[in-house]
Amino acid sequence: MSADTLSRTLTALADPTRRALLTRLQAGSATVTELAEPFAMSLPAISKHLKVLEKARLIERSREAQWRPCTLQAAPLREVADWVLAFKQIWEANFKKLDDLLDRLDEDGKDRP
Amino acid sequence: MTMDKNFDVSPVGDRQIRVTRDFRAPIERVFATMTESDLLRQWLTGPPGWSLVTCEDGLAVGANFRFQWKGPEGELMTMAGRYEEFEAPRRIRRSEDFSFGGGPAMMGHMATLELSPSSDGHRTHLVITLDYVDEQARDGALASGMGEGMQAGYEQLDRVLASA
Repeated sequence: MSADTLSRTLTALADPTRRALLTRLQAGSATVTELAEPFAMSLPAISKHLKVLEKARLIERSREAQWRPCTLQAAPLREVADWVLAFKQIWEANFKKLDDLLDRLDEDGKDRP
Repeated sequence: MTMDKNFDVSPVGDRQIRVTRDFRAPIERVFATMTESDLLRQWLTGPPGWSLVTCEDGLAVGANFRFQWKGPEGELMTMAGRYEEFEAPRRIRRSEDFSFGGGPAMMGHMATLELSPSSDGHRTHLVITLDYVDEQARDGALASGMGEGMQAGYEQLDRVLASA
């Protein structure tokens, strides 16, 4: 995944309404009207959020059916999870070195605090 | 090692990233490893193949600091900033801006480092909070391959993504 794609995914996920929409879609496909129901928002406002999600490929909207149901696409979410993992691994690699250093200081460190 | 280190890195709210970790050492010693240059060089090496080559640090409120890492191809990465708070051994708050090669400083973040001792004093809990100016900057930092400037982490990212 390119940085642009990742950026688009993260931007799409940054909004609480869009996260709520994705959560709803985990339960199964739904139409715009169904998705809008729990929100105090107009259909156009919800449609705008759905477009952002669609552009980030987090959802797919059927072209065939007239009511165009939305379906969750999990792949970008999985990639973000993997990416955060990579971020964590770099921090953890340094922290492990710090563990080793602290152990060494502990062994020979009467002169250290 | 089976000891629970409470290690976590996660986005918090809209504008922050929080890193937590426990260390099996007293607070004064952990603070020393995070502030004394000869100790920092031994662990804050960045991605594989990199090393911390410059470590100028004022270690006082209002003072500047400048760290520089060198990569396997000789590429340079600089993190520099100024201390807003410096309370040994518990709390540091400073700006952290990054630049690569001789390039301009990129928008960075405020970093707050907090250490707290366990009740028996043998262990120390670390919390690092990175504050970005807004949501976009935070997400941009995440997306650009680590606000920490770990550009070389891309290679590791590629490997992770390749195996996904």
